[in-house]
Amino acid sequence: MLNEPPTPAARERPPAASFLRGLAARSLLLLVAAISLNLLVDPFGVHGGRLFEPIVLRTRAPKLRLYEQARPAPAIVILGSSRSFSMEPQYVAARTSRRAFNAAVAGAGVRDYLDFARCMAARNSFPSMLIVAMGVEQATLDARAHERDDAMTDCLDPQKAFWERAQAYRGLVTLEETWASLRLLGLELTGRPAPAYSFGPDGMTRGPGTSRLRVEQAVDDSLAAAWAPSLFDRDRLDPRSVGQFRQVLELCREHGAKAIVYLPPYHPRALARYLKESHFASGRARLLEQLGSWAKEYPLRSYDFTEVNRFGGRDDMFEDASHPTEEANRRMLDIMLAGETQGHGLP
Amino acid sequence: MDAARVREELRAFISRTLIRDPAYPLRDDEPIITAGLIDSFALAELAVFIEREWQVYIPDPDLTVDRMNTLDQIVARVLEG
Amino acid sequence: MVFLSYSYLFLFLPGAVLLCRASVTRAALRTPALLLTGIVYYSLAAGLPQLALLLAMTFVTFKGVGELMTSPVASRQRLGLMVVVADLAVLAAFKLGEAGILGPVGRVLPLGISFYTFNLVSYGLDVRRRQTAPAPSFLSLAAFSTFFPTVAAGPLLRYGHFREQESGARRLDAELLELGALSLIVGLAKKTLVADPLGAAIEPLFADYERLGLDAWLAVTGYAYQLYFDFSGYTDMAIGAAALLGFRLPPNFNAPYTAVHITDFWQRWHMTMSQWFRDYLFLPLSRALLRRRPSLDGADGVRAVCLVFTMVVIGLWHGATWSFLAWGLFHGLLLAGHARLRLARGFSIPVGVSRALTFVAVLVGWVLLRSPSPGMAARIWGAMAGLHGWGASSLHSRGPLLAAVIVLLVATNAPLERYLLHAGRSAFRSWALAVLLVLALLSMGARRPFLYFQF
Repeated sequence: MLNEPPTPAARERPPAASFLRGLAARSLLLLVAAISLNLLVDPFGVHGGRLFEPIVLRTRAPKLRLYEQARPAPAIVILGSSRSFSMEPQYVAARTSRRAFNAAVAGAGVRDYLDFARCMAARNSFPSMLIVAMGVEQATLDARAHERDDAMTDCLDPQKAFWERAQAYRGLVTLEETWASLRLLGLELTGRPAPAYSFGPDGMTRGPGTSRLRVEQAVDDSLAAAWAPSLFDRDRLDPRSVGQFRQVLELCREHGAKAIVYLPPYHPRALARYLKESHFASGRARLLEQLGSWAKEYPLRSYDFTEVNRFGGRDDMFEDASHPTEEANRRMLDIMLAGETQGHGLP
Repeated sequence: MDAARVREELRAFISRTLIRDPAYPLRDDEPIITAGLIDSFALAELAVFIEREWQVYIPDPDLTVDRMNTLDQIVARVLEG
Repeated sequence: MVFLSYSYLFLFLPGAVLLCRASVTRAALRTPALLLTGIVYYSLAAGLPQLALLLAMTFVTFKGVGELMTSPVASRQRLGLMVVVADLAVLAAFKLGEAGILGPVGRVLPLGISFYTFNLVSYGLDVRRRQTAPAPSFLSLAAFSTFFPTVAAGPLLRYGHFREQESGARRLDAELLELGALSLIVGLAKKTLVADPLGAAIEPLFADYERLGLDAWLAVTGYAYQLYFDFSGYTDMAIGAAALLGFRLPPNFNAPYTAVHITDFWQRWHMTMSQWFRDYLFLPLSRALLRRRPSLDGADGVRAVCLVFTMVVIGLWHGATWSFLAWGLFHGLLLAGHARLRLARGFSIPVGVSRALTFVAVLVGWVLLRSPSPGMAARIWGAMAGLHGWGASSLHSRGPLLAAVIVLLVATNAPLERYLLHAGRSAFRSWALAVLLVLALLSMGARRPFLYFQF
């Protein structure tokens, strides 16, 4: 009798309590596995693991580090978003005989310009000229991309840096970081492709570019996503962006620096839609009016390059709806730097 | 109340007025609500019919699937008064 | 505080469960403990002024119904009506205020007011009909109206059912604990892994609705699933939390997108609301109108009027705007039409066809809820009808969304929810639930916008 197999009734499904215990144990195991994976792989490079190169595009920390390493300190700094990535510092240097640096960062907002300007001031290396890209979207929205561990806090508020680093550990329990860990692990096993962007010592950012055959599709894709007309729904300048840029201009005046502000171009097809379907025209008008008003108070001049004919550009000088090519940037620089060729020589 | 007469009158009313088929062979234990033969409005019609025929008031809370799904149940409820 | 927060899931809910479990064996503490959890939740979720309104309405209802029970029969009807009207008037004022019809008054709708008002109204009507005994104390009725699992968005409750459980021993056996835990997991997964990402994916389509063509079907179907998973996910979490407190709540959804006709749909969608309106509006109204007729034959017109009226009121209960009104009217006409067809002898269509037509009809109705203006609704319907070509979306850009919608179409027609909640206790099911839970918790983590990936 002792060795008889259990009856069918005894082999019934497990009771609820043991099912729940099993479920809890499995859940805890999976959660601990996810957290451990994120700690080990550290896809965003914020937990200090450094087992692998981070997967995320970081532009702020690398650009700040490159700027600090640039010797002598650059006399001209370009501030902008990814739309200014291909503005060549070497071309600026050739036109002006002064060392230049491209400090454009991905998804930049006016707040990023202020942070970078403050960092330069804090390092006692404020340039003598800023070339700043101010898109209508940046002036009407107080929005920017966030990058973890962007090094700005180290520069501006060292006391806060520790707490911010501690906050980064919250990312360990996010789906986004777990997915990034898995992707990174997969790429490490199958072979990582070359990074999408690379930075030169002068901040020049080179990316994969868009094949000429795919540009029209890229314009459509970006118009359907991040660069849809709804980006220009507001016709008023954002007061925070205005306040932040005024602080940039104050820093310029304080350090005896000039500011050249330009409105970067949009692909003609995209611009046509923005003019028809959004408040782009009134946003642009208000921005130009504000820049004109600032020009009376600060050492500033501004250029409106939103339409390609304003700098002798063409439809084929774009990667997508909003990112101009190197050639387009050169043409804009030719106009902006026309009076700056009498340089002070390379320091 | 004559239970048999109540049953037959209810059967006739349900078949003719609610199901709209006077020849429908409604069984005593056939689930008329859950089988989709009648809907909530038909229950209201049934309640008003019962009020008029036998002066028995069936409150709204009793007009449910649990209590009025078959002819047997309905007859029993009417006979309760 | 919302259900989808770490503070609710790991602080408040465990604390509330422990408090209620500790007090359930002591009759004198049972109700106050439950009330305390409701008060704390509501004040954290909505603030003290809104809590004061909820408690005030509960008090007025409690007092009014108490008076009703001690009044002579003749004045009971009037008193009962006054209590109901008072509650509904407050709700109506806020609904009209939210729609901007009352100027600056009541622009902010108090949390859950549509639900707790209807719970209080049903209490008053049930007591008046002698279906339920009156609440023994204000605390008991307040514990009912502030019941935190359901106060924000249902399911709608009946006081009698609640009181039976609230005053009883409320043993938390392992089966109820299992139901609670699994409902929480499934509800959390529905919201974080399906509804929220789906909502984000279809938003650009609706934002750019003037460029929609036949891809409008993708947007509207995605919206239908977003609505269902969002709402039913919330309900599952409510049922789960209530189960952990020892309460069994009525179900609110029963695979609504598998309905074989529109009447079936309304027996599967937001069931506690449908039942509420059936019991307190549709049936009494139907009887009242039928009594005025000399004969009960040929009462189809009365049926149609009652169906349309009830659905219009249901629409307005959701919101005092043109779109809710139109949506209610649309469904009322569909129900009346279906009733007429059902009664026409010899009319039948295959179940598969009927099910597909019902789903399409429901989709057409959802367009009204998603459109802030009649123009937008008309444009989307036109796109669905093929009047604007294929649309601007390419398969390349909408492929993932299309795949997700197809998967959901299959999942909602298969008994997946039933499997997750009620199937055998196998290791496979345990792993599946564990994966869902962990993915859902990870999805709730901190998010930052615009993180760019390098590859």
